[in-house]
Amino acid sequence: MLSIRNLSKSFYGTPVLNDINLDLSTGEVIGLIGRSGAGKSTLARCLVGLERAEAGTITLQGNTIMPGTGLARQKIQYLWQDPTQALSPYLSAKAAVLETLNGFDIGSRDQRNTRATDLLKQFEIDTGTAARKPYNLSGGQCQRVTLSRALAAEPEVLILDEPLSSLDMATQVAALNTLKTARQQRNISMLIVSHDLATLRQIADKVAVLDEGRIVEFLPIEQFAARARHPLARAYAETLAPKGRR
Amino acid sequence: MADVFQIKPRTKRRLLSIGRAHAGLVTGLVLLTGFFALAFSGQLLDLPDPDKMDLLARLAPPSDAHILGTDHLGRDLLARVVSAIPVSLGSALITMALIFAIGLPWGLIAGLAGGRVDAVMMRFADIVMAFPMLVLALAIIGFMGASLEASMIGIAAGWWPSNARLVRALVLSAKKRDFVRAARLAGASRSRTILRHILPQILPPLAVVISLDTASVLLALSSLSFLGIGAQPPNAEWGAMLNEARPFFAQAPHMLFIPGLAVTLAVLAFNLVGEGVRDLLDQRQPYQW
Repeated sequence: MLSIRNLSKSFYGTPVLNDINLDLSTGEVIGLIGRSGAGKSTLARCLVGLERAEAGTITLQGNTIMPGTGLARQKIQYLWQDPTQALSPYLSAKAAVLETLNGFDIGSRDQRNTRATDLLKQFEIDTGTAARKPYNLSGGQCQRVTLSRALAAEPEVLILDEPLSSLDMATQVAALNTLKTARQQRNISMLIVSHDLATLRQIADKVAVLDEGRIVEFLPIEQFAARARHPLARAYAETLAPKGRR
Repeated sequence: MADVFQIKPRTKRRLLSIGRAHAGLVTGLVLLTGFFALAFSGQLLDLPDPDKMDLLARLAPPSDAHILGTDHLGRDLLARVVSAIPVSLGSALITMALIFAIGLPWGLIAGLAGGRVDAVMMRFADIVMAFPMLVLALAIIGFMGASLEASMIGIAAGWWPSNARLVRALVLSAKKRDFVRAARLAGASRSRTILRHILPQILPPLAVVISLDTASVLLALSSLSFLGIGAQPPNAEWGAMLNEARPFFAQAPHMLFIPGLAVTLAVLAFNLVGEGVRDLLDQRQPYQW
């Protein structure tokens, strides 16, 4: 599905990503963890063209793509760390979703209005809330609107940059359930950047640990605690309580 | 019928509170409204012809026949000051429109394109800015001949680069906002991104600059007319009226005072509106613009 080969990126001569290789299969969810400054967000942003990688190739369904352009712009969607800043203050929630449907020419013109309403309703954004602008919505509602907007593009891959970090615990659980639903219903692949392995355990199939711009551990989530060898990965593994005791 | 025009107490309280909180803005708007009302109601006021001379009544002080007195050719000063409103304010507003007709797209294209296009466009703007604005205006007036139109073109030619620079700076900051980049990634076309996400961010601060700059442009145009290279006699224009009044200052100070007051009030009005709009915007979170 999505294949990253030898991806490198530096800022002002300082390497941030170093020879990254990663494969994301259809419907698979990979968690990306690491310390602050490890390059997690930079990798996520390189995949959607918010940053330009200096070396390496990215392929989607076997075709080399230029992130953020052409079909890749539609098929790889990105969820921002702070959903309140990712929505235009000039557009209502529904207008934001409609903008995506219109922009990517999805569905017939007559159907788009209903489609936008349905998408938002799916994530518990009713018609009244959909008419509000983002500064009149809570963080959780904004997150659900951004997710509706991303799904409106009918993507194959979702890149989520710490999607839960700006939400309170109750909203985090709801947002996590929303992501699980999206995955089940649409078989979308996801790459989730996070600090929290315990959260990733609830949704991810595999976990990649990024340290100083390199992937130092890449394991299925169930085997992570037992097989992680890198000191940083071990440190993360120790934060995991046995499943069922949390 | 009377009920239709009655303001509800709640609305009245709200209007009063807005008036108290933004006294400058309200004063500016009232002054500008007054000017425009006078400009459009000149005929209703039954004022004499502003160009009609009465040499027997020249340099007459304010009286019942001539409320603001007459000038050196016996023309009614009130009629001339009122008939100068569309000329003076109109020329300032048209000049501002010219400035923004060049500066807005110039700054927008430079800011959005970036790279070499930005560098070339901004260096050209820098070259124009290197000339003092009035020197450039004087050169253009010299080339075209002294007239109000020439002074408007001259001022616009020297003024637009600073506005283009401002627009560019605003665009550079606006286009980097997360929601703009998010809209683009989520499918918004380039033109829609500009119209629906970038322009709404830059227009409020530009409105402040437009208002403040209109005051400065009005002063510049009046100054050129005062120097005799802007509006030409017998056209009524405040700067030109000041120029005509200069030799008669000792005999008829009202000739200088009346158009001078009109310029002062108009400049004050635009400045108050500009400052007021800025205050209003400063109270809001940038995110809510």
